[in-house]
Amino acid sequence: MTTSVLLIITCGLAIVTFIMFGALLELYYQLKQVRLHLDLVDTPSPLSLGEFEGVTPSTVGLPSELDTAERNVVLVLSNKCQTCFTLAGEFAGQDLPEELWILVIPIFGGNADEFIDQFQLYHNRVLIDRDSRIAGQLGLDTTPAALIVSGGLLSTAQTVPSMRNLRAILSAEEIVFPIGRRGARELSQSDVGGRDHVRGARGDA
Amino acid sequence: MSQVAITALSAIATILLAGVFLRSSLSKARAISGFQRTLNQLGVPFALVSILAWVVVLTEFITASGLLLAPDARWPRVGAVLLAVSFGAAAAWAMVSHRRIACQCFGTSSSRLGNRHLMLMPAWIGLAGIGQIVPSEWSLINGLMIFAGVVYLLIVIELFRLRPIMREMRGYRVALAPAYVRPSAGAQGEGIGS
Repeated sequence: MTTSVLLIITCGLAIVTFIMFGALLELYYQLKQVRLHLDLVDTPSPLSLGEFEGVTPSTVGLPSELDTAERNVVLVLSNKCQTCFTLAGEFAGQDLPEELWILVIPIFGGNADEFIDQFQLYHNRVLIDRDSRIAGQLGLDTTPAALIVSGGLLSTAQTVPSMRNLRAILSAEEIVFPIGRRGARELSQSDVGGRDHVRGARGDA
Repeated sequence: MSQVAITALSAIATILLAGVFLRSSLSKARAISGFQRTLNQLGVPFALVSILAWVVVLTEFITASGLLLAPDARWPRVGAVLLAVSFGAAAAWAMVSHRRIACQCFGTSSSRLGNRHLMLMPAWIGLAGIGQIVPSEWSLINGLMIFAGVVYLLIVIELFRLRPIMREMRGYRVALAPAYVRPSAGAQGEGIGS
């Protein structure tokens, strides 16, 4: 009798386990579908630095400390894009990672100081590109973006779709885009739909 | 063929048939809405879809349990034949009416009701027939052990199905994202997920 009861319990548990594994499988299939439909989610795109690829950061107006940096990342945020707010929120009132700089671009007459106050980004590695001079020179027309400084030179740039992606950039030594994507084209208006455009923006007073 | 071989064949046929119905019922129960949609597409009135879906799931489960726990009884095999005939009829109906209906035989699946399901009908009936020629005889305790064994085997099958989709998800991320070469990694292209 006891054996039968134990076996019935075993069968019941086995059935529950089977259903749970099946549910996990379903979850993965659904996740796959969601990812296929929302191709942009967590998908970074390379940005062209054009003639500024391989030059020292100070050439485009970035601090000269970066010219001697082995590997630094300049996170370019604007005060109008939702993802920028999410990324800035991650650093609110905290120390920045050692290799991270933040460049805030106030667009559409916005105020960069408000943005910095909102997220308490009080750090000497937080910069403001008030007249969009740096972004304009680099032809940067999408935020959030990351400029990767390697060996004291501007090496690559890419969009930063998520905090997960930013963490990956920060912990990486080198970024290799899949064949055919690196430097394939300049991002056009349609390519970066849904993101903020900073080209030609006027800085705050 | 020796008696032992026939008995073994009968036992294998019974366990195989039970395994198929068990997997089918549990998978359908997990994703019942998909099966309800299939029934609706087959022309079952909306009011009956929900009840009929659960009736099919329970019938499959009871049939599978009967095959394993009462292997010498006739009713589980009759149930298996009835289920096989009804599935075959559904496939035939879908083909005759030129409807593209997702099978949802094992929960969510992309396969359509058609030839394949119609051709499988004799196979299920054949397995039930083999089991009926020399009905297997084992105790309830043994039946419960076989039942548990079959379900654990189904779990292993699910794990094998889980593995490629997990690998695919990982590959998908690697394909979309640039390769972030970590400081510890030496070679180019070696990064996340590699």
